[in-house]
Amino acid sequence: MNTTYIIIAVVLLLVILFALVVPVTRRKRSDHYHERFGPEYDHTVQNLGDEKKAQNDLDERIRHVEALDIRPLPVNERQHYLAEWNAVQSQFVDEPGQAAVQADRLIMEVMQARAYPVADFEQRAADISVSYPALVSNYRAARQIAIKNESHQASTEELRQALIYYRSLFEELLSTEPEAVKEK
Amino acid sequence: MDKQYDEQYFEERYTTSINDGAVDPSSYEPVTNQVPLEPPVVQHVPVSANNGSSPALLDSQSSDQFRRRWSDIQGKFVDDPRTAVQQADSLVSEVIDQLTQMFAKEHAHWRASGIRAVMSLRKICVWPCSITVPFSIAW
Repeated sequence: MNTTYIIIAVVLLLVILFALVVPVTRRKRSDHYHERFGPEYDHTVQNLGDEKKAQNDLDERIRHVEALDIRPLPVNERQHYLAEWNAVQSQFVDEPGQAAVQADRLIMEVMQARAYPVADFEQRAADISVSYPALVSNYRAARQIAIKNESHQASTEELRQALIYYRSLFEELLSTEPEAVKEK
Repeated sequence: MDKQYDEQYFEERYTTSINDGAVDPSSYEPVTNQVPLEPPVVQHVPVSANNGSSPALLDSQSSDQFRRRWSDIQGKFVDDPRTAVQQADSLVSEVIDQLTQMFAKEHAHWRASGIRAVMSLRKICVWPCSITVPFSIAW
């Protein structure tokens, strides 16, 4: 009789422990991704509808970027792109829509020069979320404005904002090391 | 300021600037080129007041400097539109001031040497007459 009570007590204790520990570890895991990816983690969870799926997706992104051979830009290329950026920014006053298109193109060119695959936007955003997690939301926001701009729906103020978003990423892409590597 | 100086000054100030302003008609690009056709290649033709049809008012050093400052201001617009517009406004005022000062100087110069200038211009006019008139009297 006594043994049965003991077994029940132990099982109950284990259940209580499990119920306490699992959410804590889950929370810790979630915090870890939050710290690593910032708002991009919430964006991915919202997109995929599940934390586990989002975490797997982000792990996959890290593996993808680690497999790439990302190179820093040589000084002369960096200067060339900076000059191009200044020209785009000057163009804004005359042709804001065209300047936003050029800024987007320039980001792609720099990414390509650094050996990121640039086939589609989602892939680019995924890779940026690994190398520059703080800036991927800017890149997505700029993309939204660029889409509006395609149908001539974007206001000049929105386009100006898009240029500022693009530039934050552009400047980081020109620097020698990705943000995530610098932190290590 | 002697006559020779006046003529030289006149020549330098106006003849050269007018020549500078002369434009080869073949170098004209119609403004319609601004509209990109298929494929959308951006061909940006800045439309400026001085597109070669009028003489340059400022010397090339000043106008280059103003142009540089202008493009700096234009580049700043994205970050701070308000300041960029304020700076553009002061730059335009500065250009106007410089032009006003230049015209005032020119005006003073021509007022001071006006009589001599008129005399020298008159001489040019009178010279053919001085040849023909004695003939007419003799006739």
